[in-house]
Amino acid sequence: MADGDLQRARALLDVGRHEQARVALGEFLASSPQSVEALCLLARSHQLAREYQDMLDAADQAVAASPTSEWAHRLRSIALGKLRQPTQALAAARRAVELAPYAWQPYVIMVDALLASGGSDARRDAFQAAVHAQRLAPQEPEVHNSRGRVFQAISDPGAARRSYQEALRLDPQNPTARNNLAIVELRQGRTTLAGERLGEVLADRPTESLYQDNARTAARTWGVRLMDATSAIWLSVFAIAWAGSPMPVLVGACLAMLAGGGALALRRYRRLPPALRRLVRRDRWPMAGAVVQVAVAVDLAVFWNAEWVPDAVLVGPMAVATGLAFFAVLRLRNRAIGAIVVFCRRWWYRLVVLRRTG
Amino acid sequence: MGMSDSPLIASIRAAVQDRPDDVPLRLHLAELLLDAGDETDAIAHVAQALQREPESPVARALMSRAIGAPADHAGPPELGLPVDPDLAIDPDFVEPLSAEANPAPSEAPTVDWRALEEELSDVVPPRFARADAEADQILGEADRAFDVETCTIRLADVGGMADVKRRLELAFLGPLRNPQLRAMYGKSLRGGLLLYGPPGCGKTFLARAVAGEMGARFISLSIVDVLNMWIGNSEKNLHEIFGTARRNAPCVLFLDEIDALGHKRSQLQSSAMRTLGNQLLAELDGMEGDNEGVFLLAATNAPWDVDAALRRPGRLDRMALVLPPDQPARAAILEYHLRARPIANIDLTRLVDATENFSGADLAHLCETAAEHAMHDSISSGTVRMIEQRDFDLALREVRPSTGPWFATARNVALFANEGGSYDELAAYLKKRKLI
Repeated sequence: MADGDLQRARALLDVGRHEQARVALGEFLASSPQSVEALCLLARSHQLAREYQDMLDAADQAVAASPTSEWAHRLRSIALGKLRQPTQALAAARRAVELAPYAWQPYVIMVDALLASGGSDARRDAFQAAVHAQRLAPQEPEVHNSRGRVFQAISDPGAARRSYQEALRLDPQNPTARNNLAIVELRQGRTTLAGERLGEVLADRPTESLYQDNARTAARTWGVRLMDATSAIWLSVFAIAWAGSPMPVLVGACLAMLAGGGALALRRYRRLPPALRRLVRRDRWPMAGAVVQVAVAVDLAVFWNAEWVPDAVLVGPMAVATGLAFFAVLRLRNRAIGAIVVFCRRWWYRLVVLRRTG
Repeated sequence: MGMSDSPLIASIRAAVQDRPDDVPLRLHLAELLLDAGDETDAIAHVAQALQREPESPVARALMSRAIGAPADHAGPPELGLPVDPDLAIDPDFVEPLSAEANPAPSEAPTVDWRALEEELSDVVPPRFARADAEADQILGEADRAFDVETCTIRLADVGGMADVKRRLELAFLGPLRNPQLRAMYGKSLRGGLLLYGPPGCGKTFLARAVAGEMGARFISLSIVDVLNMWIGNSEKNLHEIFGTARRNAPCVLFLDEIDALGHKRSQLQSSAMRTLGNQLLAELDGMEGDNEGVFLLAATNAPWDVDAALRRPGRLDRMALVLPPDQPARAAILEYHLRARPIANIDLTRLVDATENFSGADLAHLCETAAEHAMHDSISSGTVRMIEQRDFDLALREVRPSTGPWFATARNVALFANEGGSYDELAAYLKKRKLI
């Protein structure tokens, strides 16, 4: 029966019933308080409930009961990582690797602990651990996810994308790979694609707060990009007007840009899943900014050459549009600088850091 | 162990510890403690007895004796008839109670406990009317690990929930009652109904009512049953339970917590649960036997965790949202939980208005908390009194609706996982309440 309690607890954890699992584990631990397996399952139940201090306590007990249990050290490392104690988390992960150098799981945990430690040497070690894990278990999706995280940390989005795609090839439903792939796309500026991917992962796991937050970020970024695009249209109309073009040319150019931009934006908007579309619509500020820029562009095209129009009709809206456009240009500049930094960082890691011996 | 403990008291005390719900035994101990002069301990035991049986005249008499209160205040009147959950409620509902209805003895009697119990069993109605039909075991299959019940409750016994009842009538019961019409429209009876909603809102009760309405047998199965009894042998036993349902047709097979029994297989790691899920699908498809006359009902708080394969046509292909009780339902539930408690001047309309979003379980807890306040007050003041509106006002400050977290999750589901329109009903409700 005692073994039945453990089996029951494992099955309950599998279906997300951590509280019921804890009851079964409590019954088992009452008779076998030193059972490492039960203590590890207890730690796992706390992990599922996001109770990381309790998880650490249970993992500590498991380590005390059996100091040579790789699983116990691995759980301890996860708990310490969640509690933002990266040095201890790394020590626990290293101990797990020492105890089971033939298993891929401790290497994956060590990769996360190393990435949390920060620093180029830690990233290099993380890269080597990820490579080793992949050698041990090339058919395991989590190994490729781990590798993808290392590539993201060393600013190599192309390699990260390939790792996540490999994980998805092995497990097409893998939520971590789908989410991380979406983040890679988002950071690369492919907001619509990122939104599509996040919509898919959320349809499968709607209650996961991490995915929800990422979807909100993607929706916000999508809206801001739309606002930036309308700022670009407004600036173009202003440039044409400043060059002294007659009104028909100005209006024609403005309408052509708005129609083209609008069609493109609509096409991309339709590609977003309904949930993401709703999030985009609910994020009012970027939408309002885009509407303002379009309105000012039309205002400028129609009234720039009209001498009978009071200055206030042009100057007031243009001041607002200029403010919005200023921030759009600032964002564009930041993105350009960011892209250069990422490029340099990627090659520095490739050519220098990853070639260093530890 | 108290100072006053004689060996007799010590042994009865130990027995009470063993059987804390045995009220006559506890009262016997309290009486012995009183005789021994240990009022403090006696009061504690009588208070616990009153908590379990608030209307017990013997307990009240002992309490009066222990706290030295005038005995003629102690008589709790019976509230009278059991509540019909569908009873129309007078908006000015106040329950006046007569203090003379059940006068208590003025001093503690020397009690022949057994005789008193027998005597009272004819006079005092049962503390709780049966909320649902209890299991009537079918003889001949005594070794099986589940009960086949005959439900006597009907949908009319379920207070409020007009929308859900209408949906059940249209989607489930109507076609069943009209075989000719069903044949004319070519409507199949295959498939089942998934009830979902916040915890404690009566999904199981509703399922039993559907079985009662159909005049069908009722078998209930949950993940705990499966894991408690069948670990390592689950497929065989699942087949057996479907076999029993087929043999007892017409039969409602109720799968409680279907999100655990039929969890998304992509999220499962253990092969045992995966195999169980596959077996469940095979049984639902009738591959293991003819499911004619077996009606499938399932309930869950987390429909988003149910494997999509279970929701395909012919399986659990219809969904009904069971929301927290509406106003008439809340009134009925409150009346039900107050029916055997000594209440005075309770403004039911006000209570109903103040308990928006409370689940049935929350309402029960509210009544329990109000009763505790009245009881503590009785103990500290030395005067046994009724449960009054002020006790509910205090209880309302402590008891909050437990449905909040469910709606927070459900909101995200309606936002992010309603691609196929499965949660349109939920989304409409949340929209109506401006939650999305």
